[in-house]
Amino acid sequence: MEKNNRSGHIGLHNLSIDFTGRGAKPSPVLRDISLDIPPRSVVGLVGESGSGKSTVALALMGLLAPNARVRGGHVSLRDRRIDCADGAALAGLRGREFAMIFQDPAASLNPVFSVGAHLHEVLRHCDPQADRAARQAQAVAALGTVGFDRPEARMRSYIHELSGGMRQRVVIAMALLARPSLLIADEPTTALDVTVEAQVMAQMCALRDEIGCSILLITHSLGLVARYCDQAAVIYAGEILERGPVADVLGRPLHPYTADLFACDVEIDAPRAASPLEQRFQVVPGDLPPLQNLPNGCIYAPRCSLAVADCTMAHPNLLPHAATPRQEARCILSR
Amino acid sequence: MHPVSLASAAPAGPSTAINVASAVVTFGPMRALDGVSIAVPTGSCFGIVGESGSGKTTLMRAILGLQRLNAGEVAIMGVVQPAARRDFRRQATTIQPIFQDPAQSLSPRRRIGQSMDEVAGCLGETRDETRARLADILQRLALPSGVVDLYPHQISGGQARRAAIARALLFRPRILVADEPTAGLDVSVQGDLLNLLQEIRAATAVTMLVISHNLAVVRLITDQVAVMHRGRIVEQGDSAVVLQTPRADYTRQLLASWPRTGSVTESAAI
Repeated sequence: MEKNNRSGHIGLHNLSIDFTGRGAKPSPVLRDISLDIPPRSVVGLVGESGSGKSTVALALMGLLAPNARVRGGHVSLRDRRIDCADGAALAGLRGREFAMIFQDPAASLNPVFSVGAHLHEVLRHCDPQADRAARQAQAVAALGTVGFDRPEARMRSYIHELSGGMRQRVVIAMALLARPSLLIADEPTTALDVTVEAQVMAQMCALRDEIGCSILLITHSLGLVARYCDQAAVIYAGEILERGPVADVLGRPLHPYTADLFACDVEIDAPRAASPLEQRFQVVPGDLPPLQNLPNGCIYAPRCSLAVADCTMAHPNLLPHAATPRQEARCILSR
Repeated sequence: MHPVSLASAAPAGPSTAINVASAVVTFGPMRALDGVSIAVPTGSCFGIVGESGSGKTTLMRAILGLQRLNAGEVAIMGVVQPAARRDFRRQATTIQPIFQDPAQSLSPRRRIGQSMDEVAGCLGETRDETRARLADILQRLALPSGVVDLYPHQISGGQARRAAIARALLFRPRILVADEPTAGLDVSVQGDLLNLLQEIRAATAVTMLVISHNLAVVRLITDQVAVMHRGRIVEQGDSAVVLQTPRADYTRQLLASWPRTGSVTESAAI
C-alpha cells in the first residue's frame, strides 16, 4: 500500500499552549513554537526535562490533557491546514498520518492482549481489506525487523513476559505497520541499550526511506541528534531558542544555552580523570524559570554566563544568523 | 559538606565487599545468570554494563537477596546470602539499593518523613537521632527540610530520586547499589546526580555498584567493570582497559554503537 503525494513539508506554526489549574494563573508551557519538517527528513527536538518537548508531541497527536488550552497554532499537512485547538481534527490524523512512539512503552500496550493482537489491530485499522494470513505475515516480518529472534513465537507473548526494551520494540513495530507520514518518537530509545538503540534508529531511517515519512525525534541524547537528525531545534522553558541544520547547530551553536547544554554531554571518548573518584560532570547551573513568572527579556538570561544588561530589556526574536541564514537563534548576542 | 553525617558506621571489614561465585539463575528454560562470578573490592566503584535482557537486573536482585540462586553463591561483606531472617535488619545497614524508579523506595501512602522513620527502628536509634541525621543529609542533597511532611506525589521526580537516595544514606550502608542511575535524565540533571554520587563516595568511602547501559558514564566513574551478555560475563577488568581496548567482540560492538556528537552527518543532507 504505497501512499503517493507525500511531497511538501509538514509544518507546525506558532503553537502556544497554556496549562490551567484550579484558580491558579495559567502556565504558558509552549509559546510560539514553529517547526518545519521537510519530507523524508529527521528533525530533532532537544531540551531539558520540563522544557515542553513532550507537550509538542502530544499537541500534534491531539492527546493533550484536559487542562491544556491551545491559544493558537496550526498544522500544515500537504494542502490541509488543521487548527491545533481542533482536537477532533488532529485525532483524525492519528494512526494514518501521525504515529507516535512514547517514552514509556506500557502507555501504548494493553496487558490483556498478546503482542500479535496489538499488531493485527494496527493492520486492521490501516488496511481493512487485507486478510488475516497477510496481516499475520506482515506482523511477523515487522517483529523480525525490530530485532526479535523468534518473531512467530513472540506474536503469542504478553506484555508482562517482555523486558522494557522488548516492549518498546513492539511499539516501534506497531508504528512501522501504520506507515504514517510523520513518525513522532518521544525518547524512543531511552530504555534500550546502545546496540539495540542503533538498530532501532537504523530501522526508523530505513522506514523513512521505504515509505517516505518524516521523523520528529524528541530526545535528550545529543549523540542521537548528531548521528540521525538533519535538522535540530533546541527548546527551553517552552520556547525554541535555536534551530537549523544539525551540522551548524551542533558544530557552531549560536545560542549560549545550546552551547551550555551540549557541554554537559558525556562523550564515550571523554578524557578520564586520574582517579574515577575525582571525576566531576558539567551541569547548567540554576533551574528552569517559573512559567507563571517568566523573566523579562531573554528567558535564559538569569542562567546565562554571557548575559549583559540589554538581555533583560526586550524579548528577543528567533532571527537568522548573518553568516549561516538557515540557522536561527533567539539571542541578541549572536547576530 | 557534612562528612560526619554521611560517614559509614562500620570499620574496615573484608577486602571484598561483594563476592559472587558461579551464580546461576534460571527462569523456565532461560538461564538469566549462567555462571556469573564477580568480586567487588571494598571501597571501589564497580560497573555492570550490558544490554537489556543480559541479566544485569537479575544479578543485582541476587546481590540484594531478592532473587534465589539455582546454583552458586553470593557473599556480602563475607556473609553468605541469603542472610538468616534474624539478620535482615543488619543486612539493611550493609547494603542499600537506589532503584531506577524512586517510587520503589517510597511508599505512596506515607509522608516521606514516615518512610524515613522506619530506618530508626531498623538501626535501633531513637526517632530524634534519625531525624537529626536526616536533616544533615537533606541539606547535603539540597532538599528542603519541609519535604518530610509531603507525600511522594507532591514532589518532583528529581526530588523523589534524591529523597530515595537520602533514605538509603540514612542507613549508613557500606555498599550502595545504583540501578540505572542516569536513565531518563537529561544531560544536565544527569551531571547533577552523578556529581552527588561522586561526592558521597568521596565523603564516605562507600563501596558502589553501578548497573547501567550508559557506557560513557560508567567508563568515567568506575574502577572496574564487568560486561554482561546473555547471562554471562564476557569481559571484566579495569574500566580504563576494558572500555579503551576491549578484547571481547561484544564489548567492541557496544562501544562502536555509541552515538557520538563528534560524528555529525551521515545523512545530514536534504
